[in-house]
Amino acid sequence: MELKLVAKTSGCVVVELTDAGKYYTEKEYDLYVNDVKTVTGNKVITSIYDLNPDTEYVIRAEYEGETVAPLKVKTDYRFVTLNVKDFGAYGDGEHDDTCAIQAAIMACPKDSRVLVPKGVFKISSLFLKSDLTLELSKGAVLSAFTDRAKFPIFPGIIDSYDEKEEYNLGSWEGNPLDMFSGIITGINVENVVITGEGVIDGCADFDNWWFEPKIRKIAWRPRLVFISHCKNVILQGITVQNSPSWTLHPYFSENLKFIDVKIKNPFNSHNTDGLDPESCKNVEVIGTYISVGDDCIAIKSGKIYMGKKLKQPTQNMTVRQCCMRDGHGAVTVGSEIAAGVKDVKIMDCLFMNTDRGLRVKTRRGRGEDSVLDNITFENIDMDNVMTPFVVNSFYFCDPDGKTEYVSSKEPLPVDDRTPHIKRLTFKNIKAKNCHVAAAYITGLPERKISCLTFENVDVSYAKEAKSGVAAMMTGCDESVRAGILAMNVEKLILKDVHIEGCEGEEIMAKNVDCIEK
Amino acid sequence: MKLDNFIRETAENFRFDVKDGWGNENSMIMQGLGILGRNRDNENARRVLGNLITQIPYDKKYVGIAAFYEMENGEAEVLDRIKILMSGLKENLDKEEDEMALVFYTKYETRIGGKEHYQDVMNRYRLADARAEKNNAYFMTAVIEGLDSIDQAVYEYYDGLKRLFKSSLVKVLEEEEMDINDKALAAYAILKACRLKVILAEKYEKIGMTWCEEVMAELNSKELNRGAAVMLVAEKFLH
Repeated sequence: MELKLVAKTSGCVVVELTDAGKYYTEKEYDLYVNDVKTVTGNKVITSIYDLNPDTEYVIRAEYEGETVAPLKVKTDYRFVTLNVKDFGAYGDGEHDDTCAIQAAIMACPKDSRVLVPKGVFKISSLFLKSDLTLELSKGAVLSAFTDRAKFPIFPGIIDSYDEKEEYNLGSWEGNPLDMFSGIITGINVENVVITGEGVIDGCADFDNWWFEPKIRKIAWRPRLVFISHCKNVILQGITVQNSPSWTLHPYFSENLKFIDVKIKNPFNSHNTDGLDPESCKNVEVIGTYISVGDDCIAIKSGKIYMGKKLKQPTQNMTVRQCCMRDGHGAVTVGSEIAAGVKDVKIMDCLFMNTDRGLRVKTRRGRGEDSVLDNITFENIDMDNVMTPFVVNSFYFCDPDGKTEYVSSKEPLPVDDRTPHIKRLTFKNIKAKNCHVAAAYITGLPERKISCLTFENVDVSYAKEAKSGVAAMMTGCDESVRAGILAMNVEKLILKDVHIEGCEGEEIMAKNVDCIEK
Repeated sequence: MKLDNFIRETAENFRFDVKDGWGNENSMIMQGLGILGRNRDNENARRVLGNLITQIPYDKKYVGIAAFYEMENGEAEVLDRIKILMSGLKENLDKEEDEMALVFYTKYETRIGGKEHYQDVMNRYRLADARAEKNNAYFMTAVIEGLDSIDQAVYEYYDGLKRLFKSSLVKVLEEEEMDINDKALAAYAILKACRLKVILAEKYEKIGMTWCEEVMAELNSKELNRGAAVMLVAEKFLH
C-alpha cells in the first residue's frame, strides 16, 4: 500500500491509496495533513482541499491501524484570487451572474484563480480562457438557466471566405451541426483547471431540455461542459449534474484529466452520457463517479463526415479507479467512431446496474478509417449488469440505421464503408448478478473481429434474472442467462472463463475461425 | 402590398390546365404557397393551397413537393396521396429528367422512407448535375430544395448536396445572360441558400437581392413563370 500524488493545484492535493480496492477502499481510513486528521474516507482517490498555496505538506494515511509511508508535496504558487462577488455576481439564485463571472474569467492573470464562493450563481454559458483556474468552493453552485433564448448558438460549419476551408464549432452526435454553446465552454484554450467541491447544475428537466429530446429546437441541446480544440485541461473534484445532453464533451482536444469528478444525471434522462471524448488524445479519467441516463463513458471519433475529413481517432486513453452505474453502458465505444479508437485501457473499476459493461456500437457505413484496436478491460468488478460484454456491428439507432445494408447478416463486399474491429481484451473480470447474457459479440461477416480475448473472467447470474435484449440490432432476440455468443470472429481466446448458472450452452461460437483455450 | 396582391392574384387565377401540362409552373406556384403558408403563417396562402391540393389529380408529378407542406398541417389524406405519387415516380425514376422530382424523392425519404435510399438520391442528383448544363438555375433550385429536405444528421449526404449547390452556383454566376425566369430561380436559390447557411450571405446575398429586384420589376410580364415568381416572393419575405 502506498500513498501517491495524483494531481495538485495551489489549494488542493489529490492522493491515491494504492492496492486498497476498486474505487472504494475495502476499509475506511484517515488522512493526516501535517499530522492533523483532515479526511476520513473510503475512496482510493481522495481530494484534500483548503490548503495554502506554495506550501509544503506531509500527508500520511492510517489504514487499519497501520501508517502508510507519508507523501511530501508542495502546492502550486498562486498570484491572486478573483472572487466573482467582487466582480458583481450576486449568488442569490435569481440574478443572472453570467457577465460578472465572465468578467472575472477574462480578467484572470496567469497563476491565479477565479473563485466562486458559496451561493447559487445563475448562468447561461461561461467561456474559458487559457491559463485559468476556476475554483468552485464547497456550497457553490453554478446553476444554469434552461431558457434557450439565453444561450449563444454555435453554428456547425462556417465556410471560410475563400470557401476552401471550414470552421467547425457546433457538434451533435458526431456531425457538425448547430448547437447551443455549453454551459461551460472552452474553444482553443489551454492550461485550464476547474476544481473544487462545488457543483455545476445544468438544471435540465423533463419540462425543458429533456422534453422532446430528439427534436432540434433552434439548435441542438448544449453540453454541460464543451471543450473544443483545447490542451491541458483538468477537471477535478467538482460535481456536474442534470446535464441538458452529454455532460462532459471534449472535442478534438488533448492532454485531458478528469479526476475525482462526480457526474450525476437521472437514470431516465435523455442522451445524458457522462463523458464523451471525441477525437481526443491522451485522456485520463481517474477516481470519477458516474451515474447517468445513457452511457457513462462513450468514446467517439465523429460520424462519417468528420471522421473521413479529419481522420482523428480517440487514442491513448486510460480510465481507472472509477465507479459507473445506472447507465445503458458503463464504457461504450461508439457509435460515432468513423475515425477509429485505439489504445484504450479501462482498469480497476466498478460497474453497477448498467445495461452493459463494455459496449461497442458500430455498423456498416462507418468507413474504413473506423478501426477499433487495442481496447483492454482489466480488473473490473461488475454487479447487476444486464450483459457485461456487448460488441454490436449492426447498431441500428442511426437516422438511417434500420436499412438492409446495416442489418444484413450475409457477407457484403468490403469497401471504403466497412469498419474494422481488431483487438479487444477482457482480463480479470468478475461479473455477478448478470441477467441477459454473459457476452454478445458480433463482428461483420465480411470483416470479422480480429482477436477477442477473455482471460480470467467469472460470470454469474442474478437469482431473479430479468430477460432483455443484449444488443440494439435486428435479429437480437430477448434472452435470459445466456452464455457467451461470439459471431464473426477470427480468433477467440478463452482462458479461465467461468460461467455459473447459464441456461443453454456456455459458449456459442458462430463463424469463428479459431478458438484458443 | 404589391407582392401580396401578386400572390393573391396568382392563387385566385390558378388553373389546372396551364400550358406546361402540370410541369413546373403549377408545381412551383404550389411550392411558393406552401413556403408562404409555413413561414409567414399566411392564412390565405395556406387556405388556397389546401383548396388546390384536394382538387389535384394525383397522378401528376411534382405536386408531391407542395403536398408535403400540407402534410405538415396533419392532413392524413395527403400522406396517402404522397405515397401513391412516390410509387408512381419510383417506377419511372430512371427515365425522369426533371430535377424537381428528386426534391420530392428526398422529402419522401426523409419523412417517410427511413432515409434508406439517400445514397440513391445522391447518385441521381449527381447524374442530374452532369446533364444540367443548360439549365443551371433550375438545377440549383432543385438542389437547394433537396438541402432543405434532407436530414442533416446524415451529414455526408447533406454535404454532398451542398457541394453540388456550390458548383452549380459557380456555373450560374459565369453565365453571361440569363432570361427573367432563370434569374428568378437563381435569385430564389441563392437567397434561400444564404438563409440556410449553405453559402456565405456576406458574399452572395447582394447578388441574390439584385436579381430579385430585377424580377420584381417585371412581375406583370407575360414571359414570367409565375411559379418561379411566387417562390421568389415567398423567399424574399424571409429576408
